[in-house]
Amino acid sequence: MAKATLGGMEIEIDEDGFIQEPEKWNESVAEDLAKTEDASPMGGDHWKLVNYLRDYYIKFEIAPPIRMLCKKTGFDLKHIYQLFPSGPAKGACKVAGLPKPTGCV
Amino acid sequence: MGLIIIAVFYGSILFCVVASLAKLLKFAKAPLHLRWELYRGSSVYELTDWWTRPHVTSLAKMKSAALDILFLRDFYHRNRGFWYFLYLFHVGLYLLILWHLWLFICAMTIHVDAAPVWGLLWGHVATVLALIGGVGIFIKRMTDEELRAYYTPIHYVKWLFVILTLVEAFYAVQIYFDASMPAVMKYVRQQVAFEDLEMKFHPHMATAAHVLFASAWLIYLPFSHILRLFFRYYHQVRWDDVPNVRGSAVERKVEKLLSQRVGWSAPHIPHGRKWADFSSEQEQGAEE
Amino acid sequence: MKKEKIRVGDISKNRDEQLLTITGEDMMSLPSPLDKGGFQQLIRPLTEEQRNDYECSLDGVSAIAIPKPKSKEEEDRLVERFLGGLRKLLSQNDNWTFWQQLLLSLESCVRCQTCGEACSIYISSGKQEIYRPTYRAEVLRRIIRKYIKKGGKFFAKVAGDDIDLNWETIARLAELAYRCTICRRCAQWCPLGSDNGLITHELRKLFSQEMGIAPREIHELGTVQQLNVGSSTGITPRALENIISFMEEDIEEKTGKKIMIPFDREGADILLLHNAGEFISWPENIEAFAILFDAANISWTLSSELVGYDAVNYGVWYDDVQLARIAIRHAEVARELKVKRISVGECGHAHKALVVVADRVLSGDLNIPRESVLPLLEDLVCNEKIKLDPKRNDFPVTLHDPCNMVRLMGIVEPQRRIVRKLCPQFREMEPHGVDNYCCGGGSGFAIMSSMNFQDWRESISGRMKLKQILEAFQDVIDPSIHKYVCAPCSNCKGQIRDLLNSHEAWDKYGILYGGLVELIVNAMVDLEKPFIEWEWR
Repeated sequence: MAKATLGGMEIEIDEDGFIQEPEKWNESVAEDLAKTEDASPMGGDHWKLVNYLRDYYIKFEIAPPIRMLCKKTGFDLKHIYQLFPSGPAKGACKVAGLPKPTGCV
Repeated sequence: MGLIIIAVFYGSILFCVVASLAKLLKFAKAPLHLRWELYRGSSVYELTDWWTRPHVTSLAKMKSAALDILFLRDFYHRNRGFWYFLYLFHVGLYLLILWHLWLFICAMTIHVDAAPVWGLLWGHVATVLALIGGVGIFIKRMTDEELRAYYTPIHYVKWLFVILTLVEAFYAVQIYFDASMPAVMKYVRQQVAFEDLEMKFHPHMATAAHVLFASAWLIYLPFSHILRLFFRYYHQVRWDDVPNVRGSAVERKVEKLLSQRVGWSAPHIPHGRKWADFSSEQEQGAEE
Repeated sequence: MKKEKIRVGDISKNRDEQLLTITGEDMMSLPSPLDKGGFQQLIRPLTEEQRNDYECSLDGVSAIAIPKPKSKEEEDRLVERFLGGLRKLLSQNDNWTFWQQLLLSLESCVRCQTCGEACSIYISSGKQEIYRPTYRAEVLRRIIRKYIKKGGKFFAKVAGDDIDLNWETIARLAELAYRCTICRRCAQWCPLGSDNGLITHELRKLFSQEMGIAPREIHELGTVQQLNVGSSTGITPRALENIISFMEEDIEEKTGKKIMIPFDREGADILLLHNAGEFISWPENIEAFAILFDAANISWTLSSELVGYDAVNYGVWYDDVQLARIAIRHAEVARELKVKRISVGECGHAHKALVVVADRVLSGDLNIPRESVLPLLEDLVCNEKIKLDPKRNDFPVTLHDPCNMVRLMGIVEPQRRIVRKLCPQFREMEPHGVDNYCCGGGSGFAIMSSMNFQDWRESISGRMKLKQILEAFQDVIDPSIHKYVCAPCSNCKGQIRDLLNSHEAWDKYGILYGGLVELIVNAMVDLEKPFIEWEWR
């Protein structure tokens, strides 16, 4: 698997750019990931979303349901797409250092 | 010369029978497969408690098969352009098969002079239909780029052979036997009943060629897809497989198959494991 | 300029070149409003890095990320492994599971090409030869004849169907096994009973069961993750608990009713199996089932056991061993719970896998009655066991038929009777029922989004469905009219979502999608507010 320089570190990524070493994630890694996702510079709403995803992931080892994400952050899906053009799964999750969502989602 | 023809002809009959039986036996002994059927419409799975409801009967399956074979239904509905010639060819072929049967039976049961004239018409019409169909398919296969791309040269030879066989047969009846039904029937009778050995050993080219063509087709038959077709229905590969009911013959077969070892060797397949060993208990036990 | 036609033997030639490049002009045209110029969905080329790392010489798309071999020796080893696998595929013992169908399909094709017209991928791509259903089958046949049969090398020359087997042939063939959704429309069309979808399936199996080559989304993150973690989505039993309580709150908020979603209830009549993707992406589907079953007083339960809360069985798409493992787990969960039957929710491939295909994997006390949930839903709606008012569904609705339910299982009418009864503005797509077109996400495609594969499945394999949806709504295309594509299958929903999303079909044309049970609950007289929320998801 390939490596990329993110936040000044060498981090392993998969073929779609999701980081494979979640423990290396930090805010500057997120900023660099956001550049690849057309979501840079990250503003308050970006961080609100990313932080929620991150916290949920640390607790449950999975991304939350999209409906839960919208409800708890107060953003509708349209706004999420504005923040992260490739959407909550491929965009926001990637920046938050989560693995790529899997299954029929 | 005559001896060779006799050897080839009877040899080919024997070969056809033995090879077909061997092949059929191979199909019949094939292991039960996982179910993978297709449906033409609503099935028993539309009903609640489907396992208590009657499944499609063999009679219904046979009826469906008969209609397919008689009318080439799928070609008619899905590929009309191909169907026209194909159907002419098949109608001709079916009629020819029946004609030969009729000929054999009549030759052995009635006096040859009583052979009806319409028998000739029957044979000729059937041959002409098959010929038009055969030539049509041959030309279509030659000219249609889409069809040509996947049709290997050897298959064109096959169609040429079909056409040659039909033309030669027409020649034999019309010219050699002078379009006389009694003459044809007399020949068949002598052949079937071994009445004229002199003729058997010294056949005329017209009849000898027909016999040789027939032999070639007999030898080809066991390798053709025709034999396969029966199994499409017989083995219920395509529609409405028999469900696995507790205590049934299917269940006994399933259990036997599941007790075989899995022979595949990718990393996620433990070596030497049986199919039946994929229950969670056994998998966990094996990991520890 | 007309492109040169690709021939069967070309698959092993020009090893460093891409066999096919598809452009927007090649593709089948779409109906209004997507017929106007200016819009062209393109398949983005792979980056140079991706091209260097992964095999993509078939059509420049990588579905399964096969790493390029590092040396000639490695290539030769892989070719040998492939041939070894091919021998197993043709062996009655190793491949008892599908040997009969495989032989039938290999031997009965007469090259009439009837199947080509049936294939949505072949047609949508503008009839690209390599996507023709018989192309990969013919490649396989020729390899078998030349490299497996005795005297094959000699006969290949005589018969004029020569082919070379090298690593590139195999890499292209592996990718080609993932350019077919196994919708089996071609098999339905075949007058001789040859099943090119099955050939795809068997090829995938050879690659997975012998060479360990399969899409990560389906194998490692799919079946393997499901068996280890509990679900292909990665939901653990603990996460499940959290999501369920969220859904119960959600139900209360929407309906004012406190409804408990029952878990692990021993001795219930029905164990309902949902595709776990619903928990993450479409919780309203699971909520609707809970509301409906509560109203109808049905004795039912979900399971929180590993694998028991995820109906999916991706094994059916590529690997018999994984198929058997998961089916056995599903049956074990039902056995523990002592339920009377397993009912499969709105998930097409799980229907086919568990109810039909696994029938000959489960024996003895694991052979528990398994059925589709649709007949039960039909009973509730059509026999008026709950109060419903069709006026609540007075918007244009069309129905997508998941291949696994209709053509592959013969469940055609229950969903129609429900929609006809409940949706005054229901209109069929053409064609539909057992002649339907795949959504383009079948056989795992909907969950495969790696590299540029999503572009391919949106522009090629899903093109026919997009066309059908637009055609069904031509008279009401105005975005102010809310329209609903009903797709009773998670996989199809995911694909239809991606199709609609990439054309902004909700914003521009007012087309939303969702499941079947949502329409039923939306018509429930007992609920104050409509259940369906008209917002993009």
